[in-house]
This record gives sequence, structure tokens and C-alpha cells, in this order.
Amino acid sequence: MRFRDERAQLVAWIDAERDDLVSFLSHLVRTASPNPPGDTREAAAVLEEWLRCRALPVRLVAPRAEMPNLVASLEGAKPGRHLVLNGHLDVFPCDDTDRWTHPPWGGDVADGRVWGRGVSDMKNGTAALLFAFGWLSRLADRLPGRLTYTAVSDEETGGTWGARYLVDHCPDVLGDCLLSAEPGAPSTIRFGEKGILRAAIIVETPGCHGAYTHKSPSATRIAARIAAELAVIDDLPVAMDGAVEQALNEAAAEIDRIHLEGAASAIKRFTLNIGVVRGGVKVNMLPGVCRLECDIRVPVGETAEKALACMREIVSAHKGARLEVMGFTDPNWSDPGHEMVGHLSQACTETFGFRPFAITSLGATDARIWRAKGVPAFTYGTTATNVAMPDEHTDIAEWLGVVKTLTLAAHAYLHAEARS
Amino acid sequence: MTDLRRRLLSMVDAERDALIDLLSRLVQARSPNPPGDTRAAAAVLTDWLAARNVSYRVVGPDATMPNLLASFQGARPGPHLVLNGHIDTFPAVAASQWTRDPFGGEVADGAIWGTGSSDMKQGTAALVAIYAWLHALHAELGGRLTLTAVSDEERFGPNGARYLLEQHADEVLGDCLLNAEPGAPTTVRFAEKSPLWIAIEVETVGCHGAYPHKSPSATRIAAALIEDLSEIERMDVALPPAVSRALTQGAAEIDRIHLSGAAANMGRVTLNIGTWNGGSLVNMLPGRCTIEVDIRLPWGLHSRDLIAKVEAIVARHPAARMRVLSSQEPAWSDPDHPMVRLIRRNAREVCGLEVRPIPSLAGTDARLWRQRRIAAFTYGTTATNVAMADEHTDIAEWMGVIKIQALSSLDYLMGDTRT
Repeated sequence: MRFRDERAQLVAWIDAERDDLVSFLSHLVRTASPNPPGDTREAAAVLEEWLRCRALPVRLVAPRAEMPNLVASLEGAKPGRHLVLNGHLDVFPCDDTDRWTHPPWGGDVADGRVWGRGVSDMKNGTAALLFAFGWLSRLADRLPGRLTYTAVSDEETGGTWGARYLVDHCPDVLGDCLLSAEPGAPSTIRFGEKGILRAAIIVETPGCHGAYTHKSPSATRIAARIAAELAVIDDLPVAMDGAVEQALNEAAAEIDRIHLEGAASAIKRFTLNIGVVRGGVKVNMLPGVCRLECDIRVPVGETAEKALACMREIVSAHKGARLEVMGFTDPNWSDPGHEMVGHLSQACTETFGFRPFAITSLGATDARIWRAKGVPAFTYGTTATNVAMPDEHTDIAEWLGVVKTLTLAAHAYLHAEARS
Repeated sequence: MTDLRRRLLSMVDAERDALIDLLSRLVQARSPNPPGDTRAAAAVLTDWLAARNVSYRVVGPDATMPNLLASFQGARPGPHLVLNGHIDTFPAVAASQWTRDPFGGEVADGAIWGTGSSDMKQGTAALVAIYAWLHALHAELGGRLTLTAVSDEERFGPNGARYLLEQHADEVLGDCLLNAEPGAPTTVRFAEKSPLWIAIEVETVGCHGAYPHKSPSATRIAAALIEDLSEIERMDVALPPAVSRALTQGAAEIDRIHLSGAAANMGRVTLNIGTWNGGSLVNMLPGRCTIEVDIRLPWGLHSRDLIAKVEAIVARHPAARMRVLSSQEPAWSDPDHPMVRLIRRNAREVCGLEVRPIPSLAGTDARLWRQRRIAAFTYGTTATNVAMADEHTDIAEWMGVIKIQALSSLDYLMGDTRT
């Protein structure tokens, strides 16, 4: 079978197995895996069973029993490059069930979409790569190189027990190139991503009865003042790499289209999110403790340290307040001229009829963990539809296009060395 | 000193150790509110009464929040005095900062330690004991004495004093109320600032934290709102002359017992952002945030003025909505009432203390009587670390206060208003 015939065969399988894909995704959504708490055992079991039914080798790496990571690998018929596919099993929590028109853990299939928490971020991607792995395994006797599938836990809360553990302890998952299917939009290939600084600000005062406001400074009011002052982070000056800035400028209209207006601007600057506030016990007690958890996104070209220095200056001016760094990752990116960008672009053009833009991403993904190990890493997925919002969903037609693009790009990457 | 008064004082002295044990056990019978389950603590009090053959009733709409009600008639007509204390306490705070067990009821260094030992298990224990002593003397007394030991005070909830005044008004209103909330033995409180509690909820769409352009942030709007709310602290206040006079005369004492700044705080609107909560995960942009606000109104302001002011501030933030949780009008009793004069005289006689009538910063159930035009006064021990770590009550001071409360109750029932 020639290269083109193989591609035609892959597309035929995808079209023929459309209903299997949809019902699998629906099932995966119903297997709730919110993080926190991050227990993904049932979701991992769904994937494991799928692989075992097809006699595909699979192993679980679980440094924490409730957060298993699943690894499946297959050898091609001859030597070649090693491509790693990556998705995550955990999803955001859901504390606003009342705002949904479809049950968040129902996996409803309606109006050409699959609905539910995590369906877009990123169960659709994790399922897509699993099926891609399955279809490519049917061609194993003709493929060069090696293909590894990873589905990890603990992505939504930083990856300590998920991707990070895996790359640190299982070198066979590193490979020569990583392909992740995090959502974004089919019109964009993401070669890099913003950095993250997560820091908690803790304000502590003696606290007292709420009627005696002269006896103690108020932890909540100091925290509110700090929260207001932190707004300067949104306006910190940014020095960006010329090539990256040009790529982002060229794609600006598309970035605003897919991520809503303001995204092209947000992608190029520092942004502040005060994700969690916890202060006080009771209305008539003057709070002695208030905690703010901040999530700052660092544009490509800048450093988390710059935002941290700004936070330190603000926090240190308030008696009783202190800063605790929860974690940080500097912005990271792979070569936008890497051949995987070309394979994805070619496959996207064949499938959707348009050429995608190569951009950086607003959100962080586990791809950064491979980049940190020197492995080029790229992300391609569906539109991020209502991620972390009510009525998260995935458009089935678009998703099928993404499944084809991912499968064809992986296939092309494995063949490329021998063909060139 | 009359024989009756001497006998009462000797009863207090004779039961000193029993009183200390009563308060210690009352602290051990934890009753934080929320949740407000006071059954164990109430049982400690009813055991005390039962052991002295004093009858009582337990009433209330919620079985976990009992209210003790007891009343007796003296041998001849006279005024009706009502004693009032509460059984519930603040929740335990700052567990790590305590040097004692917060619910241990430890007796050490001349004090009794634990959550609620000052606010106000000392006062409630004192009033229960005083009721039992006076009950033993009832054949020689005039008037009528009623004891109320209630639940649900810390949240100004509906199941305690409010319930009694709504369902048993004829029994518990009386002619005068004596409440034993802590403050300082050098002051008798004739008025209190009035709490206005408001919940503000901010709702936005919310989204992933990396996409802050997609939704306004509920937490950041809330922070701006909190900053704006500080305007209410600067509202002009025209105090009624009687209150203003007492505040001026008591200013130095108020600042001494409640720390510097207290006298100034009494005459103005204060703002406490009691709780501020939003979001569930650091990397999600919060679509919900709630603020609970505790505003204290001085006399001369009406709650509707404050509510209108807060509404105007909240209206600047379209994503925010407010809800009044509880509102009351500030009220005061006559600072020259006979009960005030009795307390001042007895404090001078028994402890050599000069007592000044002042308003109170904190809210007590006494306000419910004042709002019904019953003269209501609060007299108790020093508020030591209330709602803070290492709350305690000094035993020597407490014993003096009990004597002053007991004698003033007796004198009032006997129609003795000499000063």
C-alpha cells in the first residue's frame, strides 16, 4: 500500500467509525474526573479497556493510585522516529451546575454536539489521539519508527503526578516529537505557550469581633486593596521575540475570532486572574486571615520573575501580607518551522480546505513539560468551546476534521524520514 | 446593708467554687454557632437549677437550640425584672494561636479559659446562679423575676431571644431587662450600635484563567466594591444629645477598656467585610464571588439611610447584587434609669468601682427589649479576647460582678432606688 493509499484508508476508517467515536466520547464525559479532587481511575479504566479489547499493549504508571497515567506503545516495521501523542484524563471541576442547560456529567449528544464538563478540555482530544493510535496500529506492519500514546492525570492542577512524573521517570515517553490535542481551534497550530506564575497572597492580622474595627486591621480589606493594586500587572511592559510577534500579528484577526475579541491583545501581554479568594469565617467577625490565589500568564519573551518582582513590591508594602509562590513556568516554544507544523498544516488543508496559522497559545498545556526536556512539542485541537464555563461542548463535525488532521499528521511524521 | 442583701452575698461566697466549676463545665459543653447546637451547654445549666429544686421550661422552635425560661412571683407586687444571657458562642477561631485548649474550660492563673468563657458563658452562668439564689429567697421578695437563657444569639437568629419575645412576650418583656454580656465592670451599657448585615453577590460568566478577556472577574469586581464601600465610614452622623453626652463623659473609659479608637468608633458608622469568598481553582477565572458585610450604625441614623447608600455603591457594579440579611434600628435606654443607679451604687459599695453609663459597640439581645421600649441594660465582666485566641474570664473580677448583678437585681425587685 502506498503512502497515499494509507491516508485514504485512515480517512475511510475514521468516517466508518464516526458513531463509535461519538459514543466513546459521550461515555468518557459521563465518567466524571474533575480535578480537584483529580481521581481519574474510572476514566483511565475506560481507555485501558478500549486498548485491551484491541489487543494493544498498555501499562499504567500511577505514583498516586487515584491519578493513574496510561502509556501504550507500538513499534513500526522498521527503524524511524518516535512520535508521542499526549492527552489528559482530568477535567476542570464544575461548581455551577445550575447554569448548564445540559447536565455537566451527562455526555448528551444533541444538536450535532457532545455536551459536558471536560468534553472540550480535553476529553475530545484524548479520545481522538486514542483512536488515532488504534488506526495507526492497524498499519504497524508498514510504518517506520515508534508511536507512543500517553493519557495523563493531574494536568489541571499542574502535572506533578501526571506528565511531569511520566517524563521524569519513564524516558520512553519522551520521543522525538510530541503531538498534543488540547483544544484551541482547527485554524491554529500552537508551537508555544504563555508562561504561568501562580502565587498566593496571605494576609494575616489579629482579627477580632466585627463591632470593634479599631482593634485589628482587617485581613479582607487589606487583601481587597492588594487585589486592586495588582491590576498594574495587566499593563507591565513586554519585550517579545520579533518572529513570534510577527506570527501573532499575522494571526491577530483569527485569534480574536476563535478566542473572542481581546484574545490577540491578551496573548501578547501579562494577564492577572485572581482565581480564589478565601477570607473570614462569619459576617460579624473581623477576619484575621484572607488568602488570594493569583494566576498570572506571562507572554512569550518575558519571564515569570518580572511579574513576581512586581507582586513582591506590592505585597511588601502591606503589613501582615506575605507572598507564597505556588509554582511558575516561563513561556516556552518550539521552532515554528519544525516539520510537524508542516504535516499538520498539510493535513488540515486536505481535511478542512484552509491553511492554519502557527501561533502561541494563551493557556498552558502539558506540552511545556516535553519542551522543557528539549522535545519539540505541538498542539492541535478543536475549538475551545466553553472551557471552564457552563455548557462546555464539542462540535462533532469539527471534531471529526480534527481527528483526521491529527491522524494524518502523525502518519506523515512517521513516514517522513523514509520518504525524504 | 439589709439582712436580705447580706444573706445573698454569703450565698455567692459559699458557692464560689461551684460557680467556677459551673463555668468550666459550660465551656467544655461546646456550643459554637454556627452550627448553634446548644443542647449540651443547656443541660449544664438545667442540671444546676434542678439540683436546687428550681423549676424551668425549655422552649423554642428548634430542638437543637433550646431556650431556658423560668419565672417566679415574689410575696408582694412589684416590678418585673428579666435576666437574659445566651448559651451559644462564636465558632472557635485561630486554633493554632491558642495557648490553651479552646474547649478545655481550663482553670489556671486565676482565670477560666476557652471559647465563650467571656462571651458570654460567664454572664449566663452568673444569671442562672443569681436566679436560683433569689428563688430561694422568693418568700421575702417583691415583684417578679424571670430568667431567659437563650440560643441563637451569635447569628441574631430567629430561634432564641427573638422567638421568646414573639411567642412568650407576656412572660419575658417585664419592666426592665438585665443582660450580662461582657464589656467592663466599670461601665453599664444603656445602648448599642445596630448591626446591618448585607450579602453582596457578584456574578459574571467566568472562564478559564488564561482567557481573562472572555469574562469580567467576579473576584476583581468584588475587590473594587470593597474599596468603594469604605465611603460609608465617612457618613455624617448627628448623635442624640443624651447619647452624645454619655459618649463624651465616658470617652476616656471607653478607650481604656476597648483600646484606643473605640470612643471614636462608637459615634460613627463602621464597616467590617466579615467574609469574602470567590472561585474554586486558581486557574479558573471566577464567575461568582460573595461578600458579607457587617455595618454598625450609631444612634441618629436609620438603617434605610445606610441601605440606600450601599445600594448606590453596589449599583456602580452591574454584575453585583445585594441582599439585606438583617437590619435593625439603633435604640437606647435612659442612662439615668433606676437600674443604672443601682448598679453604680452597688459597684461602689462592693468593689469600689466607679461605673459610667456608655453605649456598647457590640450587639446583644438587649436591643430586642429596647426596640420594644423596655429599659434594657448590660453589665458584665471585661470582654477578654472575645472572638480571639485565649478567650478567658478573670475569676476575681467575675465574682465581684456577680455580686453587683445579684444585689442590683434584689434591690430592683425590692423597689429600692436609693443611690
